[in-house]
Amino acid sequence: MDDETKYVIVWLALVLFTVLEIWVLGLSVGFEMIVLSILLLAGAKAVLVAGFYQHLFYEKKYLGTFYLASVILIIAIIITWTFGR
Amino acid sequence: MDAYSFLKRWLTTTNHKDIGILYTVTALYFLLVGGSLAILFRIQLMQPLMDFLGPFKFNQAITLHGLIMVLWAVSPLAFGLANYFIPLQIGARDLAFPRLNALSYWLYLFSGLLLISTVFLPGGGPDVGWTVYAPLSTAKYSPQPGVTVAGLAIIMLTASVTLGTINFIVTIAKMRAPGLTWMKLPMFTWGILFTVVLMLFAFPPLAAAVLLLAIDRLFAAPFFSSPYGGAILWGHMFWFFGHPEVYVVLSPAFLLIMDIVSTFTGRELVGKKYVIYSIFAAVVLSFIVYIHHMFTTGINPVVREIYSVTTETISIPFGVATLSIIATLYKGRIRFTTPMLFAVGSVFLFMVGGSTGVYLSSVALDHWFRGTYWVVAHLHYQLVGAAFIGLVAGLYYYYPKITGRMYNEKLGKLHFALAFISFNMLYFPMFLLYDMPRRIYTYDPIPQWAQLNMIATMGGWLFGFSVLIMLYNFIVSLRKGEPVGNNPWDAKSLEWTVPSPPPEHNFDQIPNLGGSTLANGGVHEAHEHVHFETLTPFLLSLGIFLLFVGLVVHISITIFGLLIFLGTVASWIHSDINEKYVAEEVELEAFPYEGIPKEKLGTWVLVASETLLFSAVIGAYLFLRVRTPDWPASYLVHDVRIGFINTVILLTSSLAIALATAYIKRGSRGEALKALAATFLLGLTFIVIKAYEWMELAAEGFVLGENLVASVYYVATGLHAAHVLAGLIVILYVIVKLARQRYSAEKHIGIESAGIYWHFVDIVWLFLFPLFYLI
Repeated sequence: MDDETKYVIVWLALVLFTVLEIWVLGLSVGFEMIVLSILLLAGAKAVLVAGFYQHLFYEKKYLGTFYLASVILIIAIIITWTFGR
Repeated sequence: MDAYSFLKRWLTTTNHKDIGILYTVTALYFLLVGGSLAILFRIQLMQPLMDFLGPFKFNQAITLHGLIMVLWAVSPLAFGLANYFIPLQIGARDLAFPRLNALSYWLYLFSGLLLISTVFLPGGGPDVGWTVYAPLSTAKYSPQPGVTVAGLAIIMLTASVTLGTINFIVTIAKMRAPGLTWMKLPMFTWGILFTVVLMLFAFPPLAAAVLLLAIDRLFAAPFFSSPYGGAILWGHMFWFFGHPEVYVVLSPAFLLIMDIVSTFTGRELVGKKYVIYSIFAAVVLSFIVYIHHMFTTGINPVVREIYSVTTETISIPFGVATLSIIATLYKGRIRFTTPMLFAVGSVFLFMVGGSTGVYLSSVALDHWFRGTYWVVAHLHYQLVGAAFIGLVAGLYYYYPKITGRMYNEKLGKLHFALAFISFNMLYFPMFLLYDMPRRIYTYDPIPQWAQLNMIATMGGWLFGFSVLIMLYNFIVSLRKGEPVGNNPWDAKSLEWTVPSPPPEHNFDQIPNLGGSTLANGGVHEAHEHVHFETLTPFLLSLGIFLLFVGLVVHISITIFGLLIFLGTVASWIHSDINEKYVAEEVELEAFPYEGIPKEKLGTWVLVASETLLFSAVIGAYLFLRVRTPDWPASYLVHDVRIGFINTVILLTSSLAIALATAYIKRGSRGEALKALAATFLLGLTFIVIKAYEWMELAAEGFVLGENLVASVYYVATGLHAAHVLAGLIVILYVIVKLARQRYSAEKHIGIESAGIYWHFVDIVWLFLFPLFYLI
């Protein structure tokens, strides 16, 4: 599969996931479950963009080191700030 | 050299050694300013009930002293040495991006001048302490514009720091001489690498915090004045930066000392590999210890216990490093030159400061010591005793290399004796003042406090005088010092293999250290060195400075500054498009980034920094949202349809620029141009829709400052929109370059880097959309 086709398929998946986020919002499964589902979908979309469009799936693994470190720090920040009360 | 030539040289230089000298001289200037402020408030504290400064001037003096010393003096002094010596230590001719390096310096200088200028504003400078605690720093309690301008100065400094971090990381990762593997690097280079990594992750949250504070103050947006934890939020945001900043200040000096000890004992640093691993562990740990600064704020006890353990843990790697220095001294043939005396003195003071800090990691003891002079003593033993005195060791160590002349050794030793004694006179009494609150401008006549404060003030005067001896020694020795050869200390690293002072291009031929020790390897192929002079970094920084000054003085100054800024940016882009300035392209020892262009690595480092900036804003939003009662669900406040349309637009723009990269890689310029134009138009459409949405919301009374919900929405989406606009400028730039046939299948790094940045902006929106439109 050439790069162009791959990029278009990823775009379709990203739009589909966005539609799913809005669909989940209307489900009667409790607010916490909705939040979790939507954030997981957002995370999946971010992985698709970073992996395919930013080429991290195909680059040397160390190139994403700083990015990965910042993501780990983000998780630490959000957990500490949100729940550290 | 006449005045014109002198000014032209120093205003337009991009050479790393010149920039290093500029950093060093400027840092020493800020050191004298900060030190003078300390002399003033030590006079105020010399005796009980003194009426020398009064409360307001005292508060300004301690605030400016803290900010200047931590942000504008000690750390930049290290970067003066780093600018000068990192390329020399790794066998390079310059930093990876020399022009950005010059921009880093001028932003740093003008940000410092902006901070100092606050004292001339109505209401005076900031008087809220260097920690700028909220709600004291909010407009209600500190309405003077000086606090806001100080915030702008910090944001300007953060821009300087971010550019510097990118430059040093890429330089050390990509421009090491052949054979100079990671473990062969001098410890100072390691120290700077660890420092810039810390800065990369620590400064963006500070910038986010200061941005929120500025908006809080200017638009009455209740971030830090929120009754639902606003003050705690500031604590989190500030100390997430503040604690790693301690290691930012400390690490360059601490690791430079290891090189000095190694040189003057004639021994390799014992256990070098383990020291490097230990400091790396400390870097990681430094981000998960900061809560110990907030033990007394009443946050979750479990969180406090966890952070108590992590704080105690961080003493282990520094213990390993200290033992390594002691083991190197053991059986070494020690030469007690001035740099060695300062190095050993610094290690001793570090041990005192470190061991007294352990007490502060205990939740129970911290309740006693917090806010007392014990903390003041501890932090000054680390930041002055270990860091500054360590850097003084470095100044003496490298003085002959920079100037080609030896300083006066007797004066150097006199300086050490006076500095070491006076330092302990100044700060040790503060340990004994563990029952005296800090930040009070005067005190009742308590005999023990009075005696100890008197000793401290005398020590302060002597310590200040000792610095003047060093400056005198350095200035006089410029003319009268004995000329020195390449390697007056018999040191082992690369910078000592070149003449003193080093030639402009550093090395006639790039050294090759494959299979040899660090010193005097063979030679690699020669490259022509390109030296470039430009006034744009100076003018760009001046423009920003005037823009900010005008905000509180007169709008005409702001307009003038803006014109300089825009004109300079246009000139910069014009010279780039015409490829007037092409940095040296040398692919050297680059594990683990072989084959990756330095522009691409630099873009990734920038993206990591920007990720932290946004995550701090999003973290602040989540913090406030979970604590504020009756926060409405986002889909009730915002139009989900608009959010959805804009999401699809940005995703499509990402697809377009990804396709542009694919097209140019196969040599299809025309298709790449169309795809880039589509990206630009989609990005512009996103901005137009966003502007329309903001106007609609504003018409309904949903404006910045109206309430927390509105304020946090505008800040997060506004910051994102500013990044989209920046991305659009970059895309426009690559479109013009592509139209002028500057890119090809082989040479397309500009488009690829623009794509990486644009996708990042897209990813941020992927989280803003659910957070602000759905849940």
